[in-house]
Amino acid sequence: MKTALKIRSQMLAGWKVALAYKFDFLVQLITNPISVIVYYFLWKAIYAYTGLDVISGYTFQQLIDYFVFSLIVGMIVYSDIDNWMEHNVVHGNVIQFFLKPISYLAEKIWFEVGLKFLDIVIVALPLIMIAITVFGTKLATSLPMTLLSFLMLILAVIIGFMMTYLTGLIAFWLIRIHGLRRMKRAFLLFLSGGIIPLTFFPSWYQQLSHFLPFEYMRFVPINAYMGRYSITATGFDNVFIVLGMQILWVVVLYLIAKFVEMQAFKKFSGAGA
Amino acid sequence: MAKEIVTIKNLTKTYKTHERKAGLMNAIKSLFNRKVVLKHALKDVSFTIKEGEVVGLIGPNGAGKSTTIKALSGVLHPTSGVVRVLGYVPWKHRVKYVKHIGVVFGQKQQLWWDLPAIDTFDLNRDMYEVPEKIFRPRLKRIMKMLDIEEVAKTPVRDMSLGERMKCKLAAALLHKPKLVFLDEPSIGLDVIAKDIMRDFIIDANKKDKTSFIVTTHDMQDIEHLCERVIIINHGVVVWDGPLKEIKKKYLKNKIIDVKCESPIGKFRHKGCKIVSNDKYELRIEVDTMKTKIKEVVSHIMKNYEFADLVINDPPIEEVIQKIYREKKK
Repeated sequence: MKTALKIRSQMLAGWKVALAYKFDFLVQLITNPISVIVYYFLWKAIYAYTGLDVISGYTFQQLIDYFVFSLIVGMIVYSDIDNWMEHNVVHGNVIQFFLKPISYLAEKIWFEVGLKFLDIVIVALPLIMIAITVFGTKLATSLPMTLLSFLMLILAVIIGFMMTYLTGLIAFWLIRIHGLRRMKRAFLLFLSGGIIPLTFFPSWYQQLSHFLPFEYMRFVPINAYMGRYSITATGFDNVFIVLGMQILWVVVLYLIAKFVEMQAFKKFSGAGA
Repeated sequence: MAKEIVTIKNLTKTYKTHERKAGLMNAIKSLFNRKVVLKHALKDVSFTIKEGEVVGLIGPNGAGKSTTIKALSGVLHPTSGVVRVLGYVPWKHRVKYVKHIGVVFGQKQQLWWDLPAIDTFDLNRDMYEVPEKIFRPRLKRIMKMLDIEEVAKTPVRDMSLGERMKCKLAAALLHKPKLVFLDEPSIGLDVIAKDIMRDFIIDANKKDKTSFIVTTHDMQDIEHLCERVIIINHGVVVWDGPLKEIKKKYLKNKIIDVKCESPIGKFRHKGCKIVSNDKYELRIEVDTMKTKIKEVVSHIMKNYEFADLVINDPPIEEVIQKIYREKKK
C-alpha cells in the first residue's frame, strides 16, 4: 500500500513530464506510421519481383503485420531512460534522486512507465486502427496465445529497460554517453528484429540468437502474438521454452544491473558527489 | 534535556581526483597519464546536535561544509568515522532514512524541472506518504509564508533563482522532517526574500521543533538564525560553540568603508585603526570594546564630506585566522 503511493507518485511525474511536451507527441503520431508505409511499398515490390508467396517464412500480409506490430512493440519496449540518466549526471543533479525515499532503480522504472503511458494511448492505439483499416492487419484470434504474448511483451519491456538502465549507469563513469546510447539503439533495433524479422538472418545467427537477450525484446513476443509458437512443438518453437528464456534473461539482467548499480553508486558517493 | 539527534565521530573523507595542467598539450597528455591526487575533504570531524537546535556550519570555500552535509544526508560514503542521525546510519539506511529529513542544496536542481512547483509538492506528498488531510493545510500555510502561491503554478524552468530557492525550501519542509539541511540557502535571494526565508525557518523551528543545519557565507543568516556555530576550515572543526561567544571574542571589530568626493586627508579617532587610505576611499577597523560605532559614524558625518558609508563585519576568513592565532598561543 505504501509502496503503491510512491509508485503512483513516480508514474504521475513521468506522465506529467510527457504531457509538458505535447507537441513532440503530435509529431510522433504523424511520423511513426510513415515507416510502415515505406516498408509496405518496398516489400510489395520485392514480393512482386521474386514472384514468391512466402519469403523466409512470411507471406506479404504477414510481413506487413509484423512491421505494424514491430513498430508498436518497439515503441513500448524502447526506453529513453539512459538519456535521462546521462542528463542527471552531466548536470550534477543525481543527488536529487538519492534524497528520495525510493530506490534509484524503482524510481527510474516507474517514471518510465508514466512517460510511456502517453505513447501507448496516443500513438499505438491509432496506429492499430490505421493498420486494420488500411493494411488489412488481423488481430490474433486465440485468447490464450494473446494473453501469453501480452505477458511476453511485459517481459520484453523489462529486458529492454534493464539494458537501457545498464547503458545509463555507464554515465557514472564516462559522464557523457551520447555515442554509446546511439550505438545501443542501433544494435537493439537490428538484433531484436526491428528492421527485418530474424528469419532473414543467416541460420547460424538464428541459432545463436536464441541464447542472446535481443530477440526476446521484439521478435519473440510478436511471433507469439502471430501464433508462430505452439505448446506442443519442441525446442525454440515451443512457447513455454521461449517464455522460460525470457524469464531467465529478466533475472540475469536484473542481477547484472544491480551489481553494476552498486559499483556506480560507490563511484558516485566516493568521488565527492 | 533535549535528545541528541546527530552524532558524528572522527568523520574522515578522502577522495581521489585527477590533476591536469591547463593547455591543449596537457589535455592530450592527461589522456594517457593522469596524476592521481588525494584530496582530504574532511579530517576527523566530530560534533553532536540536539533536537530543536539551529546550527550554522561556516567556513571559507572548499572547507568541507558541503561534504559534511552530503555525508549527513546519506549521499556520500565517508572514508571512515561514525555517523548516526535520528538513529540511522545515513548511507546504509538511505531509503528509510531520507523520509525523516529535508535537504536543500542551493546549487542543485531538486524540483521537477519541466513541471510547475505545485506538481512537485503534490508528488512529494505521495513519495513521503503524507496524508492529504495533513498535507493540504500545511502546504497552504507554507506557500503563504514564503509568498509563492502564484509562482508555484509556473514551470520551474521559468522561475527566477530566488523563486526556485523558495520553492525548494517549501518542498524540503512539506513532509515535516525532524531535521533539515540547508546548503547555501540564501543564494540568489534579495533582501526581502532573505527575511521571508529566515522567518520561515525560525517558525518551523519553533512550531515543529525542526532542527536545522545551515551552511552559508552570509553572516547575516547566521546572526538571525543560529545560536550555535561550527566553523570548519580545511576539513577540520576549528570552532564549535555559541554564536554569542564568537561575537564577543572575535567579532568585536567592525569595518567601516567611507567614500569621499574630496580628498580625505588624515583620520583619527579613539579605538579606530586605519586599514587603508586611498585619498578618496578610507577603510577603518573599529574596536567596539573601546568606542561605539555610533560615535565613529557621527565623527565622520561631522568632519567629512562623504558620498558613501558602509559598515561591515570582518570576513569569516579573518575570524578563522584569529581563532588559529589564539590556538597557537
